[in-house]
Amino acid sequence: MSAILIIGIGNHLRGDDAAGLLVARDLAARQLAGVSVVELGDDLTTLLDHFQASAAVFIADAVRSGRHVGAIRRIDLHAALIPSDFAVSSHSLGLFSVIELARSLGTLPAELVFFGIEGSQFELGSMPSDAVRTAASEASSLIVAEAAQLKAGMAHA
Amino acid sequence: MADSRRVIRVDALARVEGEGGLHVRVRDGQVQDVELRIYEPPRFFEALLRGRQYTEVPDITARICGICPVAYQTSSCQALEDALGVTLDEPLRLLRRLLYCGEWIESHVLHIYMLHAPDFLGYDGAVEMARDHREIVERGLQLKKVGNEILEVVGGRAVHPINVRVGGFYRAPSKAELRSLVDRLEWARDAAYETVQWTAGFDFPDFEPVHEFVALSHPELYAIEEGRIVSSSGLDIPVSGFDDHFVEEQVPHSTALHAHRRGGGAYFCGPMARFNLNGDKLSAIASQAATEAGLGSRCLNPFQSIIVRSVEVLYACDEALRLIGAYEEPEPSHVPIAPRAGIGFGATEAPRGLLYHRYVVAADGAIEEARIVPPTSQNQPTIESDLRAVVNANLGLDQRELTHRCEQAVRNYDPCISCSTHFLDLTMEEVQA
Repeated sequence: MSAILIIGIGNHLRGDDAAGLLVARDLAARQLAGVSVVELGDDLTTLLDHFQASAAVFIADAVRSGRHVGAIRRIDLHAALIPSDFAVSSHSLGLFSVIELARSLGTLPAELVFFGIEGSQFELGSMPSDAVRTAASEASSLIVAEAAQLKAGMAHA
Repeated sequence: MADSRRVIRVDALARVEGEGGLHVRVRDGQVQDVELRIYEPPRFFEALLRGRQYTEVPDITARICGICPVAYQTSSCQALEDALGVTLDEPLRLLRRLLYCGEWIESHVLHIYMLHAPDFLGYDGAVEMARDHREIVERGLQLKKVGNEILEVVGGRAVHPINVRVGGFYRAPSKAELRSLVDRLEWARDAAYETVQWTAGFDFPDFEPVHEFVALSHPELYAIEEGRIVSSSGLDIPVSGFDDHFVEEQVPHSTALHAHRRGGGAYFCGPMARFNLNGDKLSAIASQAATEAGLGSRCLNPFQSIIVRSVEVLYACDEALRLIGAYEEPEPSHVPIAPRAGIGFGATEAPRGLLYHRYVVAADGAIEEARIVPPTSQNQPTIESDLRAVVNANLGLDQRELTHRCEQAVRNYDPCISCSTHFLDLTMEEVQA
């Protein structure tokens, strides 16, 4: 596993819920040196294994927080919790719970950054909206830039 | 006398798979309505499968559930193999059973440790529980990981295994690959035994509703991936007879269909049904643990289902070790199949209960009709019936406590409401007149 890991979370069958997967697929196609890319769906407890194997982790996922569709929100998860106004999952352990569980167990990676992409259509069988597709591409670029800075920092450490 | 009404409404249940809501209406000390609102995609996947090739079905149906994909893959493969007139030989059937053991382990452990145990220990969730019981939570996470490792080695991937195909597998693992799991499984078996002992020590409300239990049964083994359908009322039918004895109906408050016995009432499938109908087929260590846990020959209290799930985790670890010890690499990794027109039936024991599939296949191998009956939809009427009794027995609790007790009661059944989304608004509302 690479020192830098990018995780896209989502469901490609539910419209804008594919946002995180779009980011992951975009970044996987770029084949960035020293960076691994993983797609996750329903079982987020596997994040705990990924956290222990990587020094830096970026997570991309759809969110619903009342902002305009396609809005991107970046959260440094060492500095802040996922806001309570974000939608949280009732499915198994949601992202918030998994991250807080890792925090309780002392297994968060040294760097952990979350990129939330605001979505609006989540009906089963729907396609991601154009705004979310655009935002996913933009989020990918933001992650690439941050990952490059991190790698440069790791190289000089 | 003043009219006294209480409404408990949970628009989105926490710590269950997928999306679900609970609505209970009480008037003058009597429960009037109990509705478990399931937002499961109504028949989306059955429609999606029409026109697809039979070869695509296992991968598509695996996406119905992210926690129990093997159940959907296995039931679909079994039904399609029935339609296409093929039979798997013993090594392939045992390999399929091994894969399923992995799923039972990871699914049950997730529910036991992360979703259900917090209820009994007075925590809001696993995060809070981890702060006080770190080693126990870490044990659960490692135990779940062992289940995932089986899925990776046999299924090719822990989530939505990619190695499953109609007729067997794309590639059979080597003996060495399976032996690499042994050390971890031996640890897991011990950890599972500790899990039974741990859950047996919880406090359980007294509650023993009367239900008809339904499960698969096998003449020699604790049924997982094959068997006849039996019930505690004496039913004993082949899987192909499912539609003659069970019927689904639409109810207004839920997009999931409700099932009941044809000409009869609700029934109950899942770990308690399996334990009560097939407990004599458990391995020695699992049987011993169940006895030490005080389960007896039958478990009728849904709150104690957490102990039964723990016993099944122990059985799955023990059975996985047995299967690995006896493994002979199947050659080839799948039986040859030629598409033909046919109707096929399949049923396996998903972690949550009986999962039934039926397919009509065209001569060119395309799916003409698909029918999928998940265990959670079969259990819905039973869950609502039990909730009615739980509410009636706990009307003395205040609103917050009663709501929590209802949510806890729903979690007794580990409902897999839909794993189609990981994303939901979580709200709770109380209305009191």
